[in-house]
Order: sequence, then structure tokens, then C-alpha cells
Amino acid sequence: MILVFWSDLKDWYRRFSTRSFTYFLGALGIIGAFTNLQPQAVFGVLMVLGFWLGLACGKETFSSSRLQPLIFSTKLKPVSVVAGKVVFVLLLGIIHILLVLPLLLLTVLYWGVSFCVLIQILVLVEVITALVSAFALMAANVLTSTGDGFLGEFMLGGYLLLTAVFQELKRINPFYSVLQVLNPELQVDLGYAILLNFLLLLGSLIAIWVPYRTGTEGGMRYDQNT
Amino acid sequence: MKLRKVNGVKCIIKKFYPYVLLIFCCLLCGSQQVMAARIQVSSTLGFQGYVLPGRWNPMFVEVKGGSHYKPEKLTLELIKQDVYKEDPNRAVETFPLRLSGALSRTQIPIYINESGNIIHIRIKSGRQILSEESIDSRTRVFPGHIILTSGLSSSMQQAISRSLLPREPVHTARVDPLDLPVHSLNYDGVSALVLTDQGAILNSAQIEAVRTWLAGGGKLILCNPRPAPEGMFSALIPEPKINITQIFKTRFGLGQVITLPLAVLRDDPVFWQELLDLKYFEDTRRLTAGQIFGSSRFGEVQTLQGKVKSGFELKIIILVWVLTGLAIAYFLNFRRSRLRFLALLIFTVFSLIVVFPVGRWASALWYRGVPVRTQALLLPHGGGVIFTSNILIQKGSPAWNLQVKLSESEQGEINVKAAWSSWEHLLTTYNGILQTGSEKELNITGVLSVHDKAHDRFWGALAIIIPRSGLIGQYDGRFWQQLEIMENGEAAWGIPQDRAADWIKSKELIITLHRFFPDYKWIFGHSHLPDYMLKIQNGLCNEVFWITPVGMEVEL
Repeated sequence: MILVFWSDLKDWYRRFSTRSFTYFLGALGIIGAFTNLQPQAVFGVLMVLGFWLGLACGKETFSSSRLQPLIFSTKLKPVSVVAGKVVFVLLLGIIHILLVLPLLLLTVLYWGVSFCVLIQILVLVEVITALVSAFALMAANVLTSTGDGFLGEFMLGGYLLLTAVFQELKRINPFYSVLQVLNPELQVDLGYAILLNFLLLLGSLIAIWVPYRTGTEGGMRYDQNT
Repeated sequence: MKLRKVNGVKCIIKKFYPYVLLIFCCLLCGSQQVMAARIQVSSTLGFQGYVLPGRWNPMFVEVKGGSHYKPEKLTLELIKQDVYKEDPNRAVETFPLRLSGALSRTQIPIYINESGNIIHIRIKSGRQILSEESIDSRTRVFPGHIILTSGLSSSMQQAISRSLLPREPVHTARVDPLDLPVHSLNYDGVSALVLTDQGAILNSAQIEAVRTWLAGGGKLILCNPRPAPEGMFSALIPEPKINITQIFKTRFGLGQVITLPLAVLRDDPVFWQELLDLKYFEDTRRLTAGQIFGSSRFGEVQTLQGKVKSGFELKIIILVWVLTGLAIAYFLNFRRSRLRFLALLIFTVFSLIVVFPVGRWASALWYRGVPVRTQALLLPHGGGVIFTSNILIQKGSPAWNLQVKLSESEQGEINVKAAWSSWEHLLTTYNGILQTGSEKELNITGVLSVHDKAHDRFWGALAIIIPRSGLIGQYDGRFWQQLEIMENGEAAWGIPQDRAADWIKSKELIITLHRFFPDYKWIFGHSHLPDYMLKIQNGLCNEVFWITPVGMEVEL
């Protein structure tokens, strides 16, 4: 597991860190400057950036060592590889949040948003980044044979659409719940959204891991492709 | 032998230490309960249990207990419940208490609304509630004149009580002069004070409270006055006219001081009605916080809504920060990746350290769109300034937890997220009292003293308030007039007009005050008040709409 995430982390740092830092700093800086750090705008953009980061990680854009070769060409167990990929996403999320944390703290201090809300939003961003990454990882490695395509984006779009349309599911929609928690008149917290999205994340990870464990679909496809 | 002894002690310790630990834990937990048991609290509201609705009433809280050797710091928490509102208990007011074994007596003004309130009183040590009790003011409401007396016979008291019969009774409450209110808000419901001069026994706070009340229209009847400096009110009336047979009336602001010998008093209701010049309660007008700044406020007042006051500074901060971060990310992107990592780490840590003071500074530059409305009534004859401030987070406002500070000893919080507000007094001396509050609102009312500001108290205070440049207005019941003060100190009166200029926001208040007191013209304006610094967050303090009565004959 450590080998997987360390390898991914090194790859990201050498080749993509400048770009991802630029996206985070630039997007949040521009939106912050234009809106006077309006919390809804800043945290909404942070959520979008979290989506982008999760999608990029899930599509293994940052990694030279991909999921299937790692499982089939090395002695690593599927669970270690999947766990390593998730730890990498979480760590990457933390690194990016840490980088922009001064701006987020400035938003909180400037508008008087409570630190409890800030922590809840950051946890939700982390969970959503990992969830998006898991969706993309699943789409690219388990559900399709080519390893790319738009299935990840479709899954993500479906998730956002379903959680935005159905009233019962709205509470787990990341954008909706962030806007709700940032409305001082509504007494809501993100505990429910974090928990359900985390359960979805666990489910997605299990869905990635199980085929490789049983040696069926994922393994078959890799053999055929190679 | 020694070895055996040591082993024996060890054995005893091993055997009994769980019990010792248990007893220690019990003592630790029980100490708070023991403390709670030692605290005795008794509280009363109003004068002899009667409260005047829509006015400020005194509440006396007596707390007994604590250790003689180690004074205990407690807090007194007041929660006012409006039984006709859905969400009670949304605003908490706290006062500091110090107990050192003796009786601690605290006098707190409480605004009771027209329908009455239930007051919840809690004594707390840290977060633990040591004592709790409630007073329901609805059972003790008396909507009429309350007259405080001391040294009068029962027949005189009864005569005063009957002075407005058959239409309405007058409530006379016998008080010990030493228990007279120390805060002028507590005189809000008192129509007259009838005392026999017992010498200089009142403290300065009591004298100042009487001064404010008198200046606003109170009536003080002092029987058998003593010559200065032995008199009870020598500080207010340095040389009372003493005559064995006569009654002397002296004006004091809008109020009156009557000195007379005890022998002239009669137990005749008509005598008292004439002496006190008592009108029916609903026709009685005085300049008090409750009557003028009660629950129904007068019209719109000047507000400051600096919505994007710190926008420019904030943009600069963000741009500098982003450009620095990008510069590190790009220009240090050589093969020395460790150097870049180190630089980014230093940048992040430094930013995290700096962001707290910078964020507080930036947040202090604006009101977050929350208006602060303050009205102040400058009483004549050095009676002080009655002020009322309202901070309301309006629906749809993006403002979050607001910190409010009045001077250095009083502070509050309008905590939208946790759905409650608080107003905290850090010292036992205080100016602003929580009138009404909710999860989104604080109404602070109080009285500021203007003494020691200038030789001539009223005009001195007025001179301090009047802006160096800008506009002040005058209303005499017929015409509105404005005085424009230039930067160079020159001033010019505008032409009197039938309608008020647009800059005057509190027209309704001005007109109502003139209707109450038609013998005066009213001067008003916007400026900062000395000693009054209501700050939002830790920086801004707002301007105040002030108004004051001046005799018709006085030319500014």
C-alpha cells in the first residue's frame, strides 16, 4: 500500500504538482477576489476543484503505475493496491487543502463562519474527492476494458443528477449540502452527507476490489488487453 | 525487618489504593455539589413585588455563601422569556459575581414588556449551574404610578395612594434610602420620590441615578432638607431653600425638586395630588428609556451599512498571496524538487500564521452588511445620555457570528449558527443592558454619564457631540431648520421649512418628543458620542442619532 501511494505521490509531485497547485491557487484566488471571499462561492469552487482532483486521480492521470498492471504484474494484493490508491487521493486532497487553507481561513474569519462548519466542509470535500476518484477508478478499471472513456464522467453526472433531483437524496449532494450549511438561517450540519458519501465511497472501493479478488472480470480483461 | 515493613506498606497501598482513588474521585465530583448546596439565592423584581409593564424595573438578587478565605468567581445569568413568542430563551445576559462568604447584593435593571416576562435566574460556576429560579412578572403587573417613600406615616402613604381615585390607584412603596436604585434605568417606572432628609447617606451612583431621573422629568420631594454638605442630595441641590413653613419648588431639567418641612404635609389625597402634580398615568410624560425607547421604536434611524468597505484591501491581500504562491510553484520548479517543497511548506506555514491577525483586521473593516441603529437622548442639566442600540441580522443576510463590544467591559455575540445571542458584563459597573434579544438581534439600552466632561455639563456635553463639520437640525413644532457647520468652523442656519430635509431619518421620534414636551424645541444630529463605543467585531463603531430638548427661548 505504502509503495503504491508513495509511487503515485512522487509521480504527481514531479509532473503535475505545478499544474494542480496553479488550478487551486488560481481558481480560488480569482473567485475570492471577485466575490470578496463570499463563502458560498469559495467553498463551491473548492468542491469543484475537489471533483477535478478526484477525477484526475481516479483516471490515474498523475500515476505512471496503474491499477491493473500493479495487481497483475506484481505480487501486491488487490486490496493493498486499491487502499494505496485511496490513501494517495486522500493525501493529495489534504496537501491541496493545506495549500489553500490560509485563503479558506481568511474566508471564515472575514465572514464569521464558524470553524465547526469549515471542518465539516473540508471533511466533505475530502470524502467527495475520494468518492469521485473511486467512481472514476471503477469506471476505468472494472466497468470498461479500454481503461478510459467517459463512463467515469457519466457515473459522476448521474450521481450529481440523482442527488439534485430527488428530494430525499438532496441532503447528500455535495454542492447542495455545502450551500445549505453556509446559510446561517438554516440550522443544518453535514454529518449526514459526510456519512452517506463515506458509505458510498466504501461501497465503490469494495466494488473495485471484489472482481480482482475473485480473479474474474478485471483480471480477464487485463489478460485480453495485454 | 525493614524489608518486611516496606513490603507491608506496599501491600496496604496495593490493597487500598482503588478505594482511595474512588473516594478522591467522589470528592472531586462532589465538590461542585457541595458548593451548590452552600449557595443561597433570593431574588425580587420591582418595588415591593410590583412591576410596571413596558418599563425598566429593578431586580435585586441576593446571593449568600462561598468561602471567607477564597473568594469565588461566579456568574449570574439572566434569561428573559416572552411567553407569547415561539422561541424563548434565545438571549442570555451574564453578570460577574464575587462571593466571599458574605451576602452579595446585585441590582439589575430589567425591561419588562407590555405582556410581562418570565425571568430565569441562574448562578453558575463555570458551566455548572449552582442555583436556578424563575420569576413570573405577569402576576405582579401594576400599570400605574409607583411612588417611593421613606419616613412618611401610614396615613400619608394612604393619602398618596388615593390621590387619583376613583380612576386609578397609585402604588406607594416604602424604601430604605440605602436601597435606592444605583442605576438610573431602575427609576424608569418611578413617578415620584418622597423622602425625609436623613443626611449624606447615599453613594455617588445613587445620586447620579437620581440626577438622570430628575433631568428626564422625575419629581423629588425632600422633607426637612438639611443644609449642605450634610444634606441627602447636597451634590444635586447644593443649597436647598429651607423654611419652616413654606414649600419651595425648583426645576431640575424637565423634572422638579420640592423641598418642604415635614409639618406642612397633610394626609389629604387632594394635597398630594396637587403637590406631586399627578396626572393620570397614561397622560404622564417623562424622558426615560422605557417611555421613549420602549419596545415600539420610533421610525427609521440612520444606519451604516458598509457592505464592501474592506473590498479593496481584501483583493490586494488575496492577489499578493496567490501571486506569491504561484511564483513559488513556478519559479522554483527546477530540478531541485526538495527546495520547492520546502519553499511551499514555508509559504503555507507562514500564511497560516499570518492569516489570523490579517483576517481579524480585514473583518474589522466592515459591518458585514449588518446595520447598527443607535439613538441617543441627551438629557438637560447634566442628566446624562440615554442610548439605545439595535443590531439586527436581517433575513437573507450572509452575516455569521457577530461580535459586539461596548467600551471595554461589556461584550456580546449574535451567534446565528448556534441560534442564541449573549450579552456579557465583565465588570460590576456597566452601562448597556440587554433590553430585548433573540438569536438574530440585540437591543442594548443604557445611560451614559456626562459629568466631568466640561464645566457646564449640558452645554459641554452638547459641544462635544456636535460634529466639527456637517449638519445639525432643529424642530420647534412648526418649522424644521438646519445648521450647516463648515470645515473652517463657520456655521450658517438654513431657511426654516415646513418639511424635514431628507437627511433626517428619525422624524417620527422628533415629532413625538415635541408632542410630549411642546414647551421645548429639539436639536438633533448624527455624530459620535463620547464614552460610547459600540464596536462590531473589533474595529468599527457607528455614529449615533442624538436628540436633545432646549428651551424655546434659547438661541444656539
